[in-house]
Amino acid sequence: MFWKHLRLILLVTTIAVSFALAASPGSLMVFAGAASRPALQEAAKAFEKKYHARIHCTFGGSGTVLSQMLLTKTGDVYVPGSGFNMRIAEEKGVVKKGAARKVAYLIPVISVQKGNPKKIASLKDLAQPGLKVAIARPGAVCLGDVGVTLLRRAEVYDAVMKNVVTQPLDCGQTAGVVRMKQVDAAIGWDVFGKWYPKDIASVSIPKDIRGSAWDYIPAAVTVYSKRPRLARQWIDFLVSPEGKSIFRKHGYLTEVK
Amino acid sequence: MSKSRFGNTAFWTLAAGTLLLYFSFLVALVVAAIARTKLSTVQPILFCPEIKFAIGLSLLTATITTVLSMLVAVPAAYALSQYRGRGQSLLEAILDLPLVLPPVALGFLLLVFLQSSVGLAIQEHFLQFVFEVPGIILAQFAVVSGFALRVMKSAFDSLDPRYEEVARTLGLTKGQAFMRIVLPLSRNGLIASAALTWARSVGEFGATLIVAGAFERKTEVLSIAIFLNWQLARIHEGLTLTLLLLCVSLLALALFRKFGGVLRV
Repeated sequence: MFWKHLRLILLVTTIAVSFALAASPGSLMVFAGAASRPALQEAAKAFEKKYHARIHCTFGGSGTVLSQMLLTKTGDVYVPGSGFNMRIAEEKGVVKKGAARKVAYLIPVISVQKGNPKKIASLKDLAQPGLKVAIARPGAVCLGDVGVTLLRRAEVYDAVMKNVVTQPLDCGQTAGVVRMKQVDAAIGWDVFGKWYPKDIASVSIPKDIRGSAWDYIPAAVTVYSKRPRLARQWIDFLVSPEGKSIFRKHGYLTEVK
Repeated sequence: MSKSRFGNTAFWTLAAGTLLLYFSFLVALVVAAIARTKLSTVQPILFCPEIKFAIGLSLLTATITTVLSMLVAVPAAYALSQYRGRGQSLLEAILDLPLVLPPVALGFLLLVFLQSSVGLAIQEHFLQFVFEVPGIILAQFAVVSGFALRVMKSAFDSLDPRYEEVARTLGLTKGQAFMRIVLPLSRNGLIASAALTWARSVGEFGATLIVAGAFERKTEVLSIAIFLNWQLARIHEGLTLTLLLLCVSLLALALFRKFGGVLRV
C-alpha cells in the first residue's frame, strides 16, 4: 500500500517543503527605489550566498513602493532613492525616526548631452536663451528640491526657470529626458553619467555652491517587518566594506568629502 | 421536478451567481475606496489651485481630443465599413493596434517619432508637442482614436444598406446620402462613440506622461495628479481624485449606454 502511493507522497512532500521554504524565516521583502536597482540586486545575491537567506526586492519610484507598503502593511526593509523619501516614511510611521542608515551618496551635477554640445560650464549657463532645461518636480522629487536650492544659491533661479520645459516625476525620468534629447541639460545626479556613459555627461557644480546640497540612499527596517533581526543584518551588510564596494562598482559614492 | 428542469435551474443559478459575484467585486472596490476617504478632506483637495487646474485641463484636452477623434473616425469608419476587398483583415488588425498596445508603449512611439528629424521639423515649423498642451492632445488622440473608430464602424455596420441605396436611386450623390441618411441614422452610435472616447481621454495617463510630461499648472492632467499623490504616499488625496475620475467615467458610460445600447462593439 505504502509503496503504491510513494510517488504521490513524494510529490506532496516536495510541494509542502517548497512552500515552507518560500515562507521560511530566512526571507526578506525589500521595497526599493529604482535608483539603486543594479547595486541592490548584486548586493542581494552576495548576501543570499553568504547568509543562506532569500532577498525579494521590489523596485519602483521611491514614493510608489512606499505607498505599496503603507496600503499592504508589508515589507521588511525600505531603501528609497533619497533622504527626502525616508523622511516621508518616518512621518507616515512606516519606519522609526532615526532608524535609517546611509548606504551611498548622490552628488548633484549638471547632466548634459554627451560631448556637451551647448558648452554648459556652470549653473549660470543654464539661463542661456533658448536652452531647454529639466528640473525634477520640487516637493515631489528630492532632486527637484536640490535643484531649486542650487539655483537660488547661484542667484540664477528666475532666469533658469524661464528655460525649464519639464518637471520629471522621479530621478529616472530626469535621466530619461536627457537621454531622449528632450532637453539640453538637467540638474541630475553624478550617477546618471555613470549609468549612461554613451548619452549623458556630467558638469560638476563647485563645492562652495553645492555645500551640503547632496542626498543619500538610506536603508531602514520597517515597523511591519516580521524578521527584524535578519533585516538589520541585511542593512549591516549594505553598509559593510563588502556592500559599499558593490555600490562603488556601480558608480555610487560611498563617502562624501 | 424533471431532470432537465432541474438542470436548467442549476445552470441559471450558476450564471446569475457568477454575474452577481462579478458585480459585487466591482462594487466592493468602490465601497472600499469611499470607506477610506475622509469626507472633510474632499473639498479642500478638489478646490486647491493645482487640482482645479488639473481638472480643467483634463476636461478641456479630452473634449478637443474627442472632436478630433470623431472628425477622423466618422469618415474612416465609414470607408472601412464599406470596404470589402483584399487585405481587409490586415488593415483592420493594424487599425486595432492602438486598442491593444499599452498607452506607455504608444507614448514611446510618439516621442521617438517627434524626436526624429521629421518630427523635429514638424515641431519647429508647425506646432510644438513635446512638453506642451498639444502633446497631451496628441497622446490622448493616439490612444483613443482607435476606440472611436471601432464604435463608429459598428454603428455603420449595423445600418441597413438599403436606405442608402434607395437615397441614391432617388438622385442623391454619395456625399448627400451620407450626410442626410447615414449620419442621422447613426446618431446614437455617434454620441456613444464620442462619450466613450471622451471618458477614455480623461483617464489617459501613460502616453501623456511620456509626451507632455507633468509640469505643474501647465501639462499636469487629473490622471497624472493621481499618480503624483500615489508617489508621495498621499493616500487620501489620491483616493479623492480617483473617486472624482470614477464619477466622471460613470457619467460618460451612462451616456454611452443610453445611446449606444443597441450597438455591438
